[in-house]
Formats: sequence, structure tokens, C-alpha cells
Amino acid sequence: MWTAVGIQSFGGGSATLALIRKAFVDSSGLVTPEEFSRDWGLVQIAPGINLFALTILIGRRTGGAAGIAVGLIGLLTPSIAATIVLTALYAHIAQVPWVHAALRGIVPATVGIGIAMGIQTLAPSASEAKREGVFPLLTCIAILLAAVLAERAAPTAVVFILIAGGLLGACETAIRLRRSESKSEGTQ
Amino acid sequence: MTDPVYFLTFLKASLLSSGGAGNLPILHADLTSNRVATSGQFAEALAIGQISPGPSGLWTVSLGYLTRGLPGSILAAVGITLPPFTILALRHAYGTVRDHPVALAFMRGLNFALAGVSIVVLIAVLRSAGINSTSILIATAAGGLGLVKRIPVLGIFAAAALAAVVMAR
Repeated sequence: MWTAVGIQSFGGGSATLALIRKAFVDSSGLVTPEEFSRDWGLVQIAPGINLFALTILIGRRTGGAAGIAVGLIGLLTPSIAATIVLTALYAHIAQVPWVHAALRGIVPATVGIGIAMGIQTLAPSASEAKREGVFPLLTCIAILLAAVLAERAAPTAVVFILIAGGLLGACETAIRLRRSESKSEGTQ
Repeated sequence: MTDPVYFLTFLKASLLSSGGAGNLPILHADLTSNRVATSGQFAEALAIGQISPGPSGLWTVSLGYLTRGLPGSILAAVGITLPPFTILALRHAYGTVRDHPVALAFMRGLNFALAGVSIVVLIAVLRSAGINSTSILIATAAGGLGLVKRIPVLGIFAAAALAAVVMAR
């Protein structure tokens, strides 16, 4: 099942996710829709590639340690092999004029889709911040702009920029919660 | 850069990021500053990763091959496979903090910072392929189609490649 997903999943993460769901929830029933949703929510906080973490959770759920090994090997072996073959092929024909020209189209498309994915990822968080008030939304925008400036000024400090962004967001919320608690205590 | 350091670079980038392209800014910073990779190789790897089967994060395997050959791709593959195992420990801890507003706000702030850093890196990647009216047009069209989600990603790439070949003639 995992190998079938690995071979068929052309189209990136969303295609792979759809195939995993179809194989383990819809077709075999090895995982319930609730379990699948819970696992997918959980892997959002895991370091690294979300789909690897999802494979680990489903593998563990369906077969313990052996299930994890079978899941990762089954999913990744064909995908990694295909990526290596495609890259090796590309390395051989990279200087062919039409390949070079095609890449000049694919790279901007990759950037455009990357930005689109970023917008889609941020949209729920931006809506949530907007619901909380103007200040949380402005904080998010300020973090984004500050990260752009910081990355331009110090490109090697990415980790610190990300942690600083997280801390700024956490501080804003902590201060806001404390103020609202103080207000509610004052009214009582 | 020695092989162990090269491997640890991929491991660190994945350990400190989330998602298929979340490790892009950290890898870009570490590998370009050490002259192990160029922005052009990042652009090529991202493009190949998009047309390969499997999770979109496998572009790092392509980057490994472009910079260090087959051993590089294997080191990259192992480096990105290990960090997701932390999910087994996190699933126990997650239940206690997942609904805490401050924990959620930390993740939200981190995601907005990641978006800001990614914008700068993506512009560097675009610059490596040459910024002109054609590339901006293709990037805008691909981004728009990506947002609409009506056309498969592979179709968008095929159209972009075809448009670039036609315009180059």
C-alpha cells in the first residue's frame, strides 16, 4: 500500500496526502477518519516533513515499530529513487538549449506556487488573528515584515529569526491575556 | 564541508523547520554561505522536486545529488527522514499544550516569520534564473493558478516550461 502511494503520488504533498487517506481510510479502513484528522493535526507541530511524520504515526497505529519501518521504506524508496533518477537525468541534459529554456519557466513557476502555498498556509492564522483583534493581526504583519528585513540583513541567522518571530507572537498574546484577566478581575 | 557536517546541515535544517519547504531558508543560508550550493542549484532542485513523485520535501534529495552526487542525495535523504520521528515523543506532550493560547501564538508568530524569510529566499531563487518580464509573468500566473487549485501542479509546470521554450525562440 505504501509503495503504491509512493509511486503514484505525482503532484507534491497534497497529492500524497490524498493517496494516503484513500488507501488507509477510504479503501482499507485501517484508520478511521477521526484518527486520520487527529494525526494530521498533530504532525503540523512536528519538525521536518509532515507527511513523513504522518507515515510514522499511521505505521505505528497499524503495525507498531515494524509498521513504521514498512511505511517509510514503502513510501520513500520509490519516491527517492525516482527523484535521484530524474536529477541524474537532468544533470546530463541540463545544457541542452530547450531544457535550459524550460527550466527558466519552471523556476519562476516554482516560486509562484511557493508563494501561493505560503498564502494558503498563512490564511487561517491571519483570519484567526483578525478575529482576536486589530493588535494581534498587526503583530503578525509586523513579524512578517521584520523577518523580511532581518533575513536581508543577516541571511545566516534564520533559526534566530524564526524563534524571535515565535517569541514575539507568544509575548503579544501573553500580555493581551494578562490585561484581559486584570480587566475582568477589576470589574468583579 | 565534510560529509558529517554536510549531513548535520540537512538534519539541523529539518529539525528546526516544518513542512516540505520549511527547511529551504536554513539550508539556503548554510549551503550558500559555505559555497557548497548556489541559488541556481536550489532553483533546479526545487523544480525537480516538484515534478518527482512523493512528498514535496524530497527536493532536498535532488539538491544533495546536484551538490554531492549519489552520496549527497543519500545523506540528504537520511537527514530529512530522522527529525519527523520526534512526533512519537511530541504526541504525548502535545495534549497538554495544544490548546494553550500562548503556545498557539508562538507557532503563529513562527509561521509568519517563516513566511517573511521564505519571501527573501524565493526572490533569491528567482533571481538565479533571471528576473525579467517573462519570469515575473510566469511566477504570477503560476501563483494565481496555485491559489485557485483547479489545475494540477504538474500541469502548471508543463505550461510554464512550454511557455518559456516558446518565448525563448
